[in-house]
Amino acid sequence: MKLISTTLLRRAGLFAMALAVSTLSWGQVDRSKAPEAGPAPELKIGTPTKLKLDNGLQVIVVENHRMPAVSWNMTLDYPPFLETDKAGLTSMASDMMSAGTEARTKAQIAEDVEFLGASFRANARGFFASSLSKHTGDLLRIVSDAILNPTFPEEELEKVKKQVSSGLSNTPTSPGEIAGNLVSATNFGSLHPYGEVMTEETLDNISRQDLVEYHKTYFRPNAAYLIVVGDITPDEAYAKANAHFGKWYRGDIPYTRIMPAKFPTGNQVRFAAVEGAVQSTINITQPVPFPPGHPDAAAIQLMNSILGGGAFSGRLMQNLREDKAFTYGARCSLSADPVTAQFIAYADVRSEVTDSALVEFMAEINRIRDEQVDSTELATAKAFLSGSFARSLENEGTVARFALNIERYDLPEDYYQTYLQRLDAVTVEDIQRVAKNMLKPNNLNICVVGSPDILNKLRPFDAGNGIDQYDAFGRVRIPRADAPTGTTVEGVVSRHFDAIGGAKAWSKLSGMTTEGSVEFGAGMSLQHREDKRFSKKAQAMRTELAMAGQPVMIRAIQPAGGQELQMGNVSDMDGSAVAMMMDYLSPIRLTKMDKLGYQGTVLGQEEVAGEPSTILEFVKGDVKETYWFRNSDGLLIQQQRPSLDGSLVVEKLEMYIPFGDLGLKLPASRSSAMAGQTMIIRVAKASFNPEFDENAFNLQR
Amino acid sequence: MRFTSFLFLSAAAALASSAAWGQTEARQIEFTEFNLDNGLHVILHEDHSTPLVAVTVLYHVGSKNERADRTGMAHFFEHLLFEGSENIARGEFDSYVENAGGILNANTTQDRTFYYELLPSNQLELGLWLESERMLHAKIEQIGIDTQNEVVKEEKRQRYDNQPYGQLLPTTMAMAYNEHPYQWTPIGSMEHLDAADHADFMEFYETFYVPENATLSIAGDLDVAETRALIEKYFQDIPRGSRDIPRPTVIEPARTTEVRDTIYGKDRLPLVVQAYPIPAQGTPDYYAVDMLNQVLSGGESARLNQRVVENDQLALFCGAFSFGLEDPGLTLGFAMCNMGVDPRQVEAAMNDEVERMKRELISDRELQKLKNQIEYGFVTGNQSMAGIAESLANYHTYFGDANLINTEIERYLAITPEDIRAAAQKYYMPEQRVTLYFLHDPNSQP
Repeated sequence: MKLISTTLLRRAGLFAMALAVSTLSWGQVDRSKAPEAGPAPELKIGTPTKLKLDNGLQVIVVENHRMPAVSWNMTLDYPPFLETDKAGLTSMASDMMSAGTEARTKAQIAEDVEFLGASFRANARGFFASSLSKHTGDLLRIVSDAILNPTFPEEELEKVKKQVSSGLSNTPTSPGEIAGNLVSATNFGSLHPYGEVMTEETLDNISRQDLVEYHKTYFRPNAAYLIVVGDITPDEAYAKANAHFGKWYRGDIPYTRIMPAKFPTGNQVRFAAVEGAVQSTINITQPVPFPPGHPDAAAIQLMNSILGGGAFSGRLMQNLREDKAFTYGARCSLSADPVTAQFIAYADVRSEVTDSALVEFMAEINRIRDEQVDSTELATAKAFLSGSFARSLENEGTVARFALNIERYDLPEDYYQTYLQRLDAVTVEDIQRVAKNMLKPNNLNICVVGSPDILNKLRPFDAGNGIDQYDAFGRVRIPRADAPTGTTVEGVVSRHFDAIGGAKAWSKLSGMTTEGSVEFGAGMSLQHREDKRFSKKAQAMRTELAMAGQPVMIRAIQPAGGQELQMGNVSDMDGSAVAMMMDYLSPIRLTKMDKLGYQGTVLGQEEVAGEPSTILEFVKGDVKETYWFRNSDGLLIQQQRPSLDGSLVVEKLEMYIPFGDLGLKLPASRSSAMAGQTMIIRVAKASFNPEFDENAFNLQR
Repeated sequence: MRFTSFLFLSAAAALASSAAWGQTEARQIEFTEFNLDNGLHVILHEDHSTPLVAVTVLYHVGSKNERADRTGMAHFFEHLLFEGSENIARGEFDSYVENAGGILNANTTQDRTFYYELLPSNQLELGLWLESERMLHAKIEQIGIDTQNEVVKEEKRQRYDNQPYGQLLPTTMAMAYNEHPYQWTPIGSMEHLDAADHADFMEFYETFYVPENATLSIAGDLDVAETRALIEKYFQDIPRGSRDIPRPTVIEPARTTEVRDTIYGKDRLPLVVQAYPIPAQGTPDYYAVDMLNQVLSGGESARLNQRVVENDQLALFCGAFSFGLEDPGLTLGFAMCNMGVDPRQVEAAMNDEVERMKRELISDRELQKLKNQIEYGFVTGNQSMAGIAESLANYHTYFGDANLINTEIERYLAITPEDIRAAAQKYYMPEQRVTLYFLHDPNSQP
């Protein structure tokens, strides 16, 4: 296999060039313009040899004898999965994959590999190993033992945990790491594998058994590709692969369904403060629909390149660095991803110009959608990408990577052979079309890590009323101040009730019915009706969701039990869920928290959606509820408490308006983030003290 | 560096790989070299594997050639020299290269400034034209000076001020050198750059950016005879410089008492830094020191990692690396302590391993391991055209022998266990050492 342009063609080219040179070199040198290029050299892309072992391991070989060395690179192609309260599991598995086997300790593996002068790095998705050809057999013996028979020794795990934990303690002073966490957490959320961020707590939850299970599940030959590059024939490579990885057994790899990542509603500024930062680390980002093999891949790459994803002459670099001198470098990235791709435009800028830089970023993102690019700009981008493609072929491993992508993503066999043609065919119209398809300038996460002093300058870029703040690990962080002295739990609660009609009026209600709608994410809306009976001896509630008048879900609860009707089936609700709903039922519950056994505290003040608010916290055992009351009018505008599945849910309460003639006010909108989507319940109509049909609260006949 | 994406601790990797290990079985890197009449040294390496060519120019000027009141000049100048020339309008330098499907960049060290273009091989002449314009008549205008002044400040903020432990190298160098200009790093002082005027820049250009102070090194899909003709066309009329090229002659006096200091910052984990003065790169003792550091830090199984990180579990990372320079450089040892670990304990463990190097000869197995590592590094080292062109230029500039690209390995392999122990005894003296603790300032936020 050769990566070399055909000798004949090249000689012809050089001959032509020689003629050109010899005529010129006798004349006066014309320095006033750039010299013409010689005839374009031909780029030949080699084809690696591919073979599958009986156990499913696919071996891809690129034979090249330039130097007496061989590298082995294994990739395990399994879908990412949620690690939930063990976030960081795969990262720990990477650190632990060469930590020992029955036959070798961690120290022996390192010593034996390095004695050969070789290198070996294992990770959660395979390994890379390389040595001189003469050491190949010795190296593979160690490598295959480490990969196939890891024991994940407890004491090594503890050691690595200590190091990782020490490393995590440094995260709050590293703007780059914080920014990475912020981007992952806000683009994908904690319900997407890309959005999970390892913290001290999740690290602590990872056990040796988790690693053993993980290895047993995912390290299977039928998910593996082995790329062999260098001084070796395909036959030898297969024989060696078979000898060292042939007795490795197949297994079923679980498939995890991944929630699609969602755009934020409106541009959202996400801020993480680093005291004393002299620059702001800006990442303007959103998930994009760009899987590998996308029919517009070439146009998308070119668009990204023109905007700032490649050449120094990209717009972001020219504007923010060369013209404005805000930064050492401004760029963007947009790469295909089989799960969820993301667009990121980024720069580190000095703190004072953070807002000016954001203005320029937004202008450039809009401009590439709103205006056709210049044809010379497109030509530059094409030249740049063809050049990168040609340069990438200098590394012998590149054609193997091409072959791997063709297999993994089911691309046409000639996908890379025809890449330059596809690049060449892209028009300025294509660029604008893909810019519009890919970039949504009003649904961006504008992530900024920087000095707290700049926070106020960021407000104009946020479409909502307030800027969400995050800690170093991408978790929402709410800066708090002390409440004025004299603030009491009772005082805050009674001020709220005074504002919605008085606790006394509410306490006299026997029941209430609200009707309206519920929206999930964008576009999906159902009718919503809630009946609540407050009377002490006959507490009950019923929730009904309907589509075009047809119920799709009904939930009926009384203290004795609750049922749910869904898709025609009635099921009993969990006893603890019933108890929780009954506990939450009373409209004046907040006035009697102490009687319910909760300890109330005034936590302080902070902004919610830009509004200064007072926070109350109620604790009973390990249950914690938090409430935010707007200082301007005393109204409860946000609450956080356990939901039926045990998770803490934040609910925002907005637009208090009077319903009925008792002067009672209700929030016309209650919204909460669930499973990465926003659920909004809107109340259109409310009636107080209604007559209830007794059957409504019991779905069982 | 003119533009980069920079990750902290890549410093460690860069230092670790800084030694250009030798090769035994490796193919020879063949090259042609010659001088033009104006003193420009040219090195050509022909390789047709891929239709690419790396055009590079190394100017033998780095931060050590700067005036003490104009530090940062060499690096700042690197930025300025992308601004254009008599025939290249401002901002066009990049677009010529990128329109041709190439990339370009540059970087500045204590000792030299290095520019390169990686081009499709049919654009070789473009690369020569650009580099000859830069050497002959770069245009240095106020607008470029003002813009790059801000850009360089952002570079400093991004790479040093806003980076965890970003002050590590500048602080260590300042403590380790009192007389020699290595006391400042290439990024230099922003006040000095603000103070520099147009005349300062022109003087710098006319002094250092002259053919007799440069090496044009080209590797890739080229024909030597054709390339030579093109080089003559673009470079032979560039006049020699008229000035003496200042090179520091000051010799850093040997320290007689250890320098110790503690620097408080917001970073959470304690960092221990040790700097030992070592001989200049290329001297016989330098190779012994470099081998010594390989025993201490050449991989996961090396002594410092096994002792401090794996067995004693005191640190996240521990290693010692040769920072070889044209004038006597440093071995930089550093350890990032685990949370809650007393840095004195870490320092004691590091010293213990150094003392062991002074007491005991390395074992036969360790020697064989070193040789295997050196051989592997040398065989696999010269892969990319850009890397080959740079190595050839370095070897020529520093040692006057570009063929060291093929033979330096012999210098390493000639080192004996006795040489290594002797180097430890001679250079790793506690009283010549600088020891710094970077500790968390409890009053800092967050």
